[in-house]
Amino acid sequence: MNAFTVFLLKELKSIARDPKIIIGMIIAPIILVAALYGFMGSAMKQQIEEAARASGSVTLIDLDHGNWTQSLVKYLEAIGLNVTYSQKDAAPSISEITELMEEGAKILYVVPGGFSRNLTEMTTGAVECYVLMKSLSFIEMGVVSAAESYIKSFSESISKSILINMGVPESFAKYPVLSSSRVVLAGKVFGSPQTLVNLVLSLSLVMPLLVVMFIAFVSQYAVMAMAVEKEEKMFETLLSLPINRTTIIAVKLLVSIIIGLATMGVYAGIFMWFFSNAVSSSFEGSPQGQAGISGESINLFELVKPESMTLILIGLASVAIFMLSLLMLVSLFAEDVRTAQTFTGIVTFPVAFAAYAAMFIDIAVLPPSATIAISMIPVLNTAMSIKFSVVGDASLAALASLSNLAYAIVTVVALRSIVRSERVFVAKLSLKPPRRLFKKYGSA
Amino acid sequence: MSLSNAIVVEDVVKVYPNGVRGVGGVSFTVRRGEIYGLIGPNGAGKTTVLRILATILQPTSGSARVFEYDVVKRPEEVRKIISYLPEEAGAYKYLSGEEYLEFIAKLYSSSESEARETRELGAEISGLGDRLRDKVRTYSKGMLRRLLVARAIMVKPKVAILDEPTSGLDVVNAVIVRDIIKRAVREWGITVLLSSHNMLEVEYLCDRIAMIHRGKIIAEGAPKELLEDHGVDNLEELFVRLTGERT
Ligand SMILES: Nc1ncnc2c1ncn2[C@@H]1O[C@H](COP(=O)(O)OP(=O)(O)OP(=O)(O)O)[C@@H](O)[C@H]1O
Ligand SMILES: [Mg+2]
Repeated sequence: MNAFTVFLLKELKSIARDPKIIIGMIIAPIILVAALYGFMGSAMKQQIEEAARASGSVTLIDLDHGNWTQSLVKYLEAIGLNVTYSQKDAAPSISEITELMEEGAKILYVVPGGFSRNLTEMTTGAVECYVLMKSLSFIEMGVVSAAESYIKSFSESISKSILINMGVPESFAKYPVLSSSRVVLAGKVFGSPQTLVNLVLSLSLVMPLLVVMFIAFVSQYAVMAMAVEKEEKMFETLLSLPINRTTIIAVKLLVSIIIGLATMGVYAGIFMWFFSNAVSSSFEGSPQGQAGISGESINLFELVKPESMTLILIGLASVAIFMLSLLMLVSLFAEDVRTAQTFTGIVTFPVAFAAYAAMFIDIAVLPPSATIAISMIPVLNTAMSIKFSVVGDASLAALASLSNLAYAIVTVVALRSIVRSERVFVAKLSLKPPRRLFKKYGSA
Repeated sequence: MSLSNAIVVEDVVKVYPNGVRGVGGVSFTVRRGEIYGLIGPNGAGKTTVLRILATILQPTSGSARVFEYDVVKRPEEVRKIISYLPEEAGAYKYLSGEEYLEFIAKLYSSSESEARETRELGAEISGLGDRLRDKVRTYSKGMLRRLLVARAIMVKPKVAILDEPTSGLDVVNAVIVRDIIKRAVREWGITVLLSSHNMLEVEYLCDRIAMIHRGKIIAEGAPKELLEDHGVDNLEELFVRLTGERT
């Protein structure tokens, strides 16, 4: 029977039954993420609902007593707001304003005296706009902009109707001048800069995230893969069995990848569930309507040529193999699982750092020597490779992928030669001081 | 090299990377179908010699062959014809004894039916009966050692290398393990190289022995002849006579 399959089956069986592995690698993250997202989800949901409610009703204090204030109230009601209207003769004090907002709507407008007169005389009028904030969150910021936008759109509707009354066509009255933007990038013209930047930004955010996540999950097992054999006191036996040592490494790498991908899948599943259920549903019913990410969508393949795409994928696979074999090397020398896990941090931290450094690097302003250096730093170059390809720097993109491929080959060869020699057995990496047992008999 | 030799060790020196000399020039020959014992106190170098033969360590100088294969040049061939039981071996604790035997059997077998026969033989040799279905985690030290000895023998290697096969076992289990070793030689013609510091056990079990002290062989031969030649009653006495030390 094929030694690869036999060893793989043993490995999977042991993992499936080892509560340490199951709890540490799968159940704990799931509980953690579920709890985190569950909490964040419900908290965000609440906030969004709150914001929707808050921006759905306003209090208006009328010091003006004029017809323009009446049309403002009508306008606000017409766009679906719930308006609490009261007339006063003197400007309210801050404590009165606070009290009103605590009890009623979070948005409060004060229309000062003379507002209608100003407008009638074609002098600019002003409305004071108060918003009650409690947590200074982004969602509360949304309420502020909502409060301002109601007034702004009222203002626009006035000028529009004035212009229409003057016989100006409606479309011209609203926007007499329109602009249309084009971006020139790598010799191509793209119609929608916002979409383009969004796409590239999200790719350069998602790529490192994927790399870091993959390495973090994969390292969990890769780093303890050999240490487990030592802990089970099977390491010495294993080295004497008629199974190719490269096969052992290959199986351990494969299992690490399987577990890494499975864990990533679990996270992705939870993540998607969270966004599809918890958050999106609460956006409905907001009087704001859609934020409106309009514009045509851009196909990734328009930006990145298929051959660059292949290069990127090769680079991605190489960097994964490079990191995995690096972890496996650490694992080989670790005496026990705990030592191995301690060393994971040493490997994964620079990875996370490199991956995120990519977001702050502006290749356009760097000298060529620096970009070449960057394109040769593993992980960092993976994160940068999309940018390299998008800006059409094919040679940098190629350098990035090929240097990763070279690192992968070097580490795999190193791993293989160590595993095939006695170094795999003699070299040790331990957090405990080395024990020189029976040394007194050594005739050194 | 004569075809009747299973193992030939020639002037093997092993210096560990930390500078400790594990063995310092050891030569001996194990004949086909015999039980050969390495005896000596802790740290004498027994495990070091066995690890070199099991292709785990490489000698600093000298050479070692198992049948026609050099352990340094053809380790993969050597691994196919030996089975090695390390001194402090374990088994995968989340597998059952049965699954563990199956795992090993499959690695040594070329067909499904051969693997099944091997595994069944292992189950029989171990004498663990129904307990084989339990996880290795639940085994006592004696049960584990019996499982491991059975695993080493069931594959009918040309050479079984057993490092202290009875260490830590009570009288009953030690007797069972010794019987397994005798049976291995008698029924399947396996050559056995073992180590021990129990001189009485070795005297009973081995056809020939090598007494190792501080990395060198200080006496070699059949236990009876050694005793006669030196005019002592047992191997312990011989050891004291040769080294001036008490074991
Ligand atoms: N991995 C190692 N690294 C460094 N030195 C070692 C190593 N293993 C053994 N030694 C040294 O080699 C010498 C011989 O050790 P070895 O384990 O071969 O003795 P032994 O005869 O098997 O002893 P015991 O009866 O205690 O098992 C000792 O001095 C020991 O300290
Ligand atoms: Mg020993």
